[in-house]
Amino acid sequence: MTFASIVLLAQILTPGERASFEQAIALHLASDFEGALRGYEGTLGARPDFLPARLYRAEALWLLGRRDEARETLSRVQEELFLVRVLRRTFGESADPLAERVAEAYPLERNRFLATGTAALVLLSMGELEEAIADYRRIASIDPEDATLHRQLGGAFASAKLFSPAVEAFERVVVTDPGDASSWRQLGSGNLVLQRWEPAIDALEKVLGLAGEDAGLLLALGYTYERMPNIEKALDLYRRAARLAPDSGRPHYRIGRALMTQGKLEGAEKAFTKASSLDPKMPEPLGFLGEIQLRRGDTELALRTLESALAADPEYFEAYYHLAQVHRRLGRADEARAALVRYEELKRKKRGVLSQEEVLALR
Amino acid sequence: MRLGALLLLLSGGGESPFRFVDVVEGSGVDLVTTFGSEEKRFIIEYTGTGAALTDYDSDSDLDLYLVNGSAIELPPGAPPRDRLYRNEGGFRFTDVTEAAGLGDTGWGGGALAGDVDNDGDPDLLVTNFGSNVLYRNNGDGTFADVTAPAGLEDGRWHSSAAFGDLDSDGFLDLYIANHAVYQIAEPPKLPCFWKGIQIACGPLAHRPERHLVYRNRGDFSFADVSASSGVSAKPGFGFGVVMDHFDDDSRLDVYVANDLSGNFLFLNRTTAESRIVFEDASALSGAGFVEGGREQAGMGVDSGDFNGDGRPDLHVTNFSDDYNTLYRNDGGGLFTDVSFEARLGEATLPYLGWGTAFADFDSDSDLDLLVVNGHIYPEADRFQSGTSYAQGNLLFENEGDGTFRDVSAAVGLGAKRLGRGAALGDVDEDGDLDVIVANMHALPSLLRNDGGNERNRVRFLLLGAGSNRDGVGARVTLESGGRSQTRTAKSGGGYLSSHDPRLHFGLGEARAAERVRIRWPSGESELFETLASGRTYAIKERVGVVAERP
Repeated sequence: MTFASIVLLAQILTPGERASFEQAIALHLASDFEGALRGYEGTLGARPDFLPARLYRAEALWLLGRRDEARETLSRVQEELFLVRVLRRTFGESADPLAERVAEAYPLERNRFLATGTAALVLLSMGELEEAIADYRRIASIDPEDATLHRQLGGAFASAKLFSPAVEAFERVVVTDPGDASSWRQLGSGNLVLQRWEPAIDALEKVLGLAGEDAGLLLALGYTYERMPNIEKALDLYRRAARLAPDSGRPHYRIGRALMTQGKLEGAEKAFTKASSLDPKMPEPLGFLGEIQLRRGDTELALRTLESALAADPEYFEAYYHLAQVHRRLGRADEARAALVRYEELKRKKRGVLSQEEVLALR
Repeated sequence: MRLGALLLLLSGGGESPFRFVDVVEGSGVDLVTTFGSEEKRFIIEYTGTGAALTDYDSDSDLDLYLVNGSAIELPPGAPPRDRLYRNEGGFRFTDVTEAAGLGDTGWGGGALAGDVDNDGDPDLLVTNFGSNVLYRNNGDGTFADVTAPAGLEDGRWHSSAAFGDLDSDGFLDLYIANHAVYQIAEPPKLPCFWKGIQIACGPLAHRPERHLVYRNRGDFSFADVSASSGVSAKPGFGFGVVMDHFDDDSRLDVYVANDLSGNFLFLNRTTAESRIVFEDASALSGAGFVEGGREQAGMGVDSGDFNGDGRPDLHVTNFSDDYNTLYRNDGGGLFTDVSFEARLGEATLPYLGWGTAFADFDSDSDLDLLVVNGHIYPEADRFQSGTSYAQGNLLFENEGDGTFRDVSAAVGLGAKRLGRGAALGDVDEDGDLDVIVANMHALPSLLRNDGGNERNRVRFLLLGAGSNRDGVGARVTLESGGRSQTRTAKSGGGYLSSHDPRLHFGLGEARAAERVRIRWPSGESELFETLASGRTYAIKERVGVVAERP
C-alpha cells in the first residue's frame, strides 16, 4: 500500500455510492448479512480500495459462516490498517487530516477502526482472540505511546476476559499517562485476575495514592495481600474498607476469610455473622459460617445456616457440598447423596460459563 | 557441644536440635536425572521421579534405588536408566545397577519396594509412563524382570503405587495411581496459560486416567481387579497414593491425591478373600475436597497420627497459590480440613509441593511433617509470579498441641531445587531418619540428619507370619512417658517413593517404650512391655522379638 492508497481511503464517495454503502451498513446492523454483503460488494465494485467496505464485508462473510473468505479479506484489511499507522508515524501530523476527513464523512467508522487504528476490535468481536492479540501487539510496536488506543483496547481485552493483553495495554497507558487512576486500577485488576500479586499491589497502591480510598479498592488490595500471603496487611485494609462502607457485608466477609487463613475460627465466625447481618442476601458468609459450625461439630446449627445460604442463593453450590457433609455426619445417607448430586450439577453448570482462558488459566 | 549444634547457635538457627546436611557430593551417588526438556513444553516433562530405600541385599542397611526419566528427544548414546546404589556405610554408595540386573530405561516415575512373594527379601516395582516393571529379588543380589508373567504390563501413564494386603490373604496387593490419558505424538493443541503466561498445558487440557488395582494371587502373578473393585469407575489425575486404616477397621483403605480432579478415598469393603471391593467415600468423607467442595491440585500424600488420637490423619501437597491440606481424621471415615488451625496453610501458599512425609525427625515423640517442593514452570522466574521455579523444602515441627511450626531454615532446608519424590530412612544407621530427595535435572539431595538421634527412640522391623511378610498394614501403638503414638506399617507413600520399612518411634526423655501393642493384618494382636530405648527390634508375628540391635 502506498500513500496514494491513503488518499483513496479519505476520498469522498459520490452521493449515490455513499447512499448505497450506508444502506448496506443499515442492513448489516439489522442482521441482514446477505443484503449487506451485496451492498458492500456494490461499493467495492466502484471503489475496490475503499477500506470500510472491505472491513465490513469481512465481518458479514464471517457472520454468514464463510470464515475462510472472511479471514482472507480481513488479512488484507489488517495489513493496510497496519500500514496506515506506519504512515501516520512516518508522516506525523500530515496524515491526520486524512483520518479526520474520513471520520467526518463516515462517523460510523470512527469508533470501529479509524479512531482505534486497528482491526483488533473487529477480530475480538469475531472471537478470533489470538489474531486480535497479535494485531494489537503489532500496532502497539508502532505506537507504544498512543494512550487512547491502548486504553480502549485494554478495556476491550478486559471485557473479553483476555487479561494478559489487557495488562499489556494498561501498562503502556500508565507509562504515557501516569496520572490516569482508572488505568492503574484496570492494571491492578488485570494483574489480580492473573494472580500476579506483586504487580497488582504496585498498581492498586498507585490508585490509592492518586484517587484516595474507596471500599472496593481497599477490598481488592486486601485480597491481593491476602494471596501473597500477608494476612495482617490484608486485615488492616479490610477493616479500613469496613469503616468506609459500614453498611456493606463484603468487608466483614473478607475479614472472616482472612481470619480463617490464620486459623482464628472464632474471629472468623463473628465476622461472617456480621457480614450476614449486614447483607443477608450474600450466601458466602453463611456458607463459611456453616462450615465453621460443622468443623465445631455443631451439625444441627450448620444445617440451618447452610439452608439459609441456599435460601439467599439457591445456586450457591458450595453450600450443597457442606450440606452433604452435615447429612453424612447426621447419618442421613440419602440426604447426603442428594446434596452431593446437586452440588455436582450446579458446579458443572457454573464451570460451563467460564471462558476457555479462565479454565486454562487455573493452571 | 557437637559442631552441628554450635553452628546452629552461631547462625541463630532456632531451637531445633537437629540439622539436615546434604552429603551427596562424594557419596558415590551420581545420577543426574533426565526428565524431558529444560523448557518443559509438555505435561509429561514436569512430574519428576522418586526413590526407594530398601535393603535389597539383606545386609541390614538401606540401599538406594533412584528412578530416572527420559525425554521426547534424546541425544545419541545410551538412554537414561534407573540406578541401584548399594549402601557401603557412612553415606557412601556403590552403583550396582548392572550387577543387580536392573537399569530400566523406561520413562520412569516411582519406585516401590515390597515382598511380593513373602520370601523375605524386597521385590521392586518401577512405575513408568508406559509399561511398569516388576523385579523379583532373586535373593542373591540380583533381580529378574517378571513384569509380563506377573500380568503387570500396561501402557498407561502411571505415577505412585502402594502395596497392601487388601483382601487379607497374606499377600501384598497393589494400587497404582495413573495420571492422564496422554500420547507423546498427540500433545494438546490448545494454548494454556498460567498467570497470563503461555505454559505447557496442565491436566485440564487432558483426560483423567483410570487407576489400577491388582490382586496378588500369591504365585508372583497379579489379577487386574480395577473394574470389579469399583476403582476404575472413576478416573482421576492421580499422583500420590497411601494405604492406611482410615475408617479404623482392620482393612487397609486407599487414599489418592489427584491433580485438579478431587482426591479419592476408597474405603475397603472386602468381605471375602479374592474379591476386593471399595466404597467410594471421597466426597462425603470430607477428604476429597476443601472448602465449598473445591478441588485442589493434589500431588503427594502421607498419612500419620499427628495429634495422638490413634487415627491416621492425611497430609496432601498442592499447587502454588494454594495451601497444603491437613485432614484430621475424626473417626468413622470422616475428615476435617484443619490446615489453617494447624498453622500449615498460610506457610505453604507460595510453594508447589510434591513429596511429603509424617516422621519424628527429632525423636521427641510426635510426628513432624516434611514437604518437598519445586515448581513445574520455568516461566515462574521470568516475571513477578509470586513464586519461583526452584524452591526450598519445608519442615514443620509438631508443637504437640495440634499445631506445627516452620523450622525449615533452622534445620538447613534452604537450598532451592526442583524437588519431587522423597524417601525416608536411617541410611547411616545412627538412629534417626535421613531423607533422600529426588530432584529434577540434578543430583538427588542426600539429607543426613545430624542430631535427630539425641533423644531416646526405638524402632521396629515387623516380620509377618500369618500376615504378609513385611507386616504392611500392621498398627503399632506405643505408650511411653504418658503419651501414646500410633503408626501403620506402609509400603509406598509421599510421592513416587518408598521408605525405610522399619517403624521409628521417638521417645523424647522416656528411657523405654512402656507398652507396645501390634495389631497385625491377620487380626492377631500382641503386646510387648518395657522395650529399652536406642534399639531396633525385629518382631515376628506370633513369635515375638527375634532380634535386637542398636
